[in-house]
Order: sequence, then C-alpha cells, then structure tokens
Amino acid sequence: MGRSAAQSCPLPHDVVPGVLTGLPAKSVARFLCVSKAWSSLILHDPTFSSSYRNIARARQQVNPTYLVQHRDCELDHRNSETDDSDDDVKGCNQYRSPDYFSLLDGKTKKVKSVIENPCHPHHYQNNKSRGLYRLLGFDGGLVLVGEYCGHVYLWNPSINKVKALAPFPDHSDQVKQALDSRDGEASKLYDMITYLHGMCNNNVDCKVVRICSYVIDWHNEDIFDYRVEGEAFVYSLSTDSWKRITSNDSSKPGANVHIPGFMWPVRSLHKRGYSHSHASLNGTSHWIAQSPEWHWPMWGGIMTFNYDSEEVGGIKLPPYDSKFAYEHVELTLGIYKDLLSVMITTPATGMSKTLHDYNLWVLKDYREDGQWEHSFRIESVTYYPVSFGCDAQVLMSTEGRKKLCSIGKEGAEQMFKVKAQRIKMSSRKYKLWDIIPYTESLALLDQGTCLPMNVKEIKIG
Amino acid sequence: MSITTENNEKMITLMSSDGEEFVVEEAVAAQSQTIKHLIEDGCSTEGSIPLPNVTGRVLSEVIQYCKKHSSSDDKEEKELEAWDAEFVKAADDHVALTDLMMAANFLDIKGLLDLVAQTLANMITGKSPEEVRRMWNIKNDFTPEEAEKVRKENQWAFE
Repeated sequence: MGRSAAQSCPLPHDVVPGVLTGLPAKSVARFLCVSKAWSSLILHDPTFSSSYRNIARARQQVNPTYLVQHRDCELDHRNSETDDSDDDVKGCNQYRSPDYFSLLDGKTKKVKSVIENPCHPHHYQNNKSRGLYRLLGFDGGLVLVGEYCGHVYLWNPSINKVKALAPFPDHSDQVKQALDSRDGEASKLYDMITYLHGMCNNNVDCKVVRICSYVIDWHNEDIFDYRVEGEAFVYSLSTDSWKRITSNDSSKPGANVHIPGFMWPVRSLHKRGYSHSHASLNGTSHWIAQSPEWHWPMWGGIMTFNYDSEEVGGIKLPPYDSKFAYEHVELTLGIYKDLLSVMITTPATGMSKTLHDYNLWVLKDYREDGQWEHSFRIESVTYYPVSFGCDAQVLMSTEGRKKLCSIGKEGAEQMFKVKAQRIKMSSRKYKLWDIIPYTESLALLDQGTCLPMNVKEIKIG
Repeated sequence: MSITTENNEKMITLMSSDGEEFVVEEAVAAQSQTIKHLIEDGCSTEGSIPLPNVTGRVLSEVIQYCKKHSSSDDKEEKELEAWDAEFVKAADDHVALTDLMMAANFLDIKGLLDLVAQTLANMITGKSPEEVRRMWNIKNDFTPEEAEKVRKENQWAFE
C-alpha cells in the first residue's frame, strides 16, 4: 500500500478514545484544541472519563508514582494546630520558604519533576494566609490542600490546575454559642474544637466534607459530663457550593450532624507530625478518632462520613496488645490493596525507645462491624509509617523525615533513600514532609485556574 | 465449505476487501469477536468470510498477531510482550498503525486494539495539536478566539 508517513489518513471517531486514554493528562489537556470533536469527547463524554480513570489507576499499580510535599520547617502539631489560623504557623513563625512538591517515581526512586506549591499566597493576592498548607486528602488524582481551618483548594497536579473552593459558610448559631462559651477556664484546658476535612472524587462529582466537632456540656453541676457535637458541610464541585448537613434526628436541637459516642477526631495522627489522617474508600471518608483526651478509659475508633447517606458513622479498630498504654500506641490509616487498613505501631518489647513493632490490619469485608484481618508484622525497626503506597507497600520514614523506604509483606526490601533536595530558589534545607500516591487525572480540566507554576525536570545524583 | 487439517483443526477462509484469501485455523480467526460471531451464526460454512473493511496487507498483519496470540499461553507473557513490541515497531508509521487499529476495531480484537492505540498514544504524547491534526487530517474547527481561550485555560500543557 505505498502510502508514505508524510501522508495523513483519517482517524475514525470511535477509535479516538482508545488513543487518548493512553496519554498522560498533560497531553490530553493540550489536545483539547485539536478539534471540537476531540474537545467534547475529552470534556463531556462520561464513558471516556471513566475509562481514562480506570486506565490511569491500572497504570499507577504498574508504575507507582508519588506526590511528595517538602517543607523547610518542622510542624509541631501539638503546639501549632489551634483554631485560630494566625496561630497556625506558631511552630515556625520565622520566615518560611514556600513549600514545594515533587513527583517521585516509585520504581526508579528518582524525582521526575518539581512543582511549586499550588496555593502559595502569591497566586491568591487576597488570601492573607502564610502558606502553611497540608495535604488534607486525595482521591482519584485530585488532591485536597489547605490550611487547618482556612482556605482549601482542590488541586490536580497532573495538569497543574487548582480550584479555590468557595468560602466556608458561617457556623450555625449553636456552634457560635459553643465557641463563645469557651472563654472559661475549662476550655483553656481542652482545645474544644476540631476540624476535619475529607474528600471523595468519583465519576459523577467531587465532594469535600468539613466536619467541625466540639464538646458541649462539659460541666453539669458537680458531674463532669460532656458530649461531642458536630457540624458538617459538604462541598460539591459540580455546583461549586457548600451545603450544611443536618441530622435526620429532628429531636436534636439545631439538628446538627450526629457524631456517635464520644468520638473525637485526632488532629495529628502521629506524634511525629504526620498530617494527613484521611483515607477515601467506597464513597466514604475515614479518619482515626479517639475519645477526648480527658475521657477515661481512652479508646479509639475510625470515624466515617458517607457522601451518599451524608451520615457520620464509626468503625471499630483492629485489636491490639492491651499491655501498652494508649498513648504509646500509634495508628496510621490508609488503603492497602484496595482495603481499608490500619498500621498499629507499638514500642518494641524490652528495647530502646526508638525501636517499634508494626502490625498491619486490613478490613476484608467493608462494614461497620467488619472483621479485621492481620496482614503482616514488622519487628524492631526505627522507621515509622507515613503513607500507604500504591503497590501493596507501606512507606516508612526515618526520624526527622530525611529518608523514605517502602515496606511490603516480605519486609523492608526497598530502601528508597530519597533525600530532600535543595532547589535554587532557596538555600534552606527542605525535608520530605508528606507523601501520597499520585494518579494521572483529567479532573478540573474545564474549570479551575491553570497556575503559572514553576515545574522543572531535575536530576538527582 | 470448511477444511479440516491432520490434527483435526477446523480451517476457515477469510477474504479481504481486495480479494485476497487467507486460510486460517478457526481458533486463530476466533480471536476476532466479529469473526467468532459470524462462525457461530453459521456464516462460515458456505465458503469464505468476506471482510469488506480490511485490505489484504492489513489482514495478513492481523492474522500474524492472532496466530501468535492463540498459540501462546499465559506463561510466556514476557516473551509475548516483547513480540508485541516488535510487531508494532514493524508497522513503523502512524498510517500503517491507524489502518491496523481500524481493522482491530472492526474485527473486535481487544488485545490488538489496545496495543496499537497505546503505540499511537506514545507516538503523539509530545506532539503539538497542529502536528496531530496533520497526522490524521483533522480539521481545526475552532475560531481563533475559541482556540486562544482553550489554550489560555490550559497554558501549562503547552509549555
């Protein structure tokens, strides 16, 4: 058929999706302007978006990539996480260099590219924030970044687009009252309000939840009596607006969202400052929760928010050795082999303080009273878990967050040794901070702002 | 009319758009869901199966692929992958690959379709929209203003 390569041949429309799903998101974004037919396929064909998602996910399993956040200062959650956003930077109130992100190839252990902080204040002139952002959640290639109780953004790193969410609605009068009454001494003892963020991103919509939990009635005459109340708002990307979730139980004053038991979300999952405690699975957000600090006996659970039923619920924790005092047990929540899982960290017996044992538990049948199954145990290591990898691996970090390694069932087989790199814009030392699995995604393609981000390929020696 | 070989394998004849005939084992041809359904519906007993959308050159490549994939079992996955890579390499340009993809699409051979689509995707990953339009003769139906808007909204993708 002597047609030469210089010639062109028509491409039937029904094979176009097959070609486009094989592309990185950045190329798909570029090809939006090939023709109207291509653009409408990419933006408006639900079959195409769903197969792109599935293929990107499958590719992620084969070639895992991670999104790493680097910062130049430690975040002491215990001291810095208060309700007031001005205090949010207490832990590092000196001048800070902006955070940056990098993409890490899970196979070669090399950094593929470096991305400037997507919500650095200079992108948002009106935002007085000081740029202390953390990764609050991730699902299906979208990342929720934001301040503990300030602005939040949805970010798609694969096409560098960011969407600043509409501002949070005001608290209800009931919550305002509860906050106002915090002036007493009791409230100074206990930090009375906790914010939780979560997200779920499926084919239909991307939703973000913000749950504000607070304690009321902590003085009932002579008896110390309290309960946890909550207020929840759900944001929907399709309507770009927030909705207040009200309880089905109309007998409750204010009909706030019902928080079961004394469930008190844990702000900092990890004593060492691991900051995202959120896992998204089955259209539900999950967080580690515990009873309030002054409650005895202390206990923990997994707090859930289901985006369909819009209800807060709880899942009990896997069993762990009760000989350890509660404060010596650390819990890391994540998704391991598509299952909800918890890594339980306990001090290694009879050893130095720096050695720990780890037990990974997975929830085989997903439901409130589902059975936990023990997956594997790692004994006496100095590393501690930071995140769940995409290839049945748990990512562990050294104290001080200088190195990472990934651990699977067979033990610590792959030493990552990813060191924080210096980048030219600053002479400050950056550390690896957070790390999450990264998936290519077309979300936010037709909305949000494309940032003039400083993305560069770098070589690590 | 169907022919049976010595090892009792049923043979069928496929006829390309330009009249070329290919005699293949039924198991090979049945890799194509389209042909499989035709056989099941009894269309093959009366002589050859006409494939009006596929030229002889393309059909011979498709048959090569189907032969390889029906004779290999899962154990040889690595070897098969290497063979696939060589196979698409031999097709060498996007015109040949597009022909192959159209045939795979018509004949409904999922493995081949995915393989060729991914090869074409790899080929255009770094290309500009203009280059892609030229490759497949796609008409740019955006007004300059519309084109500018799309470009602006996704500036980073063009850098």
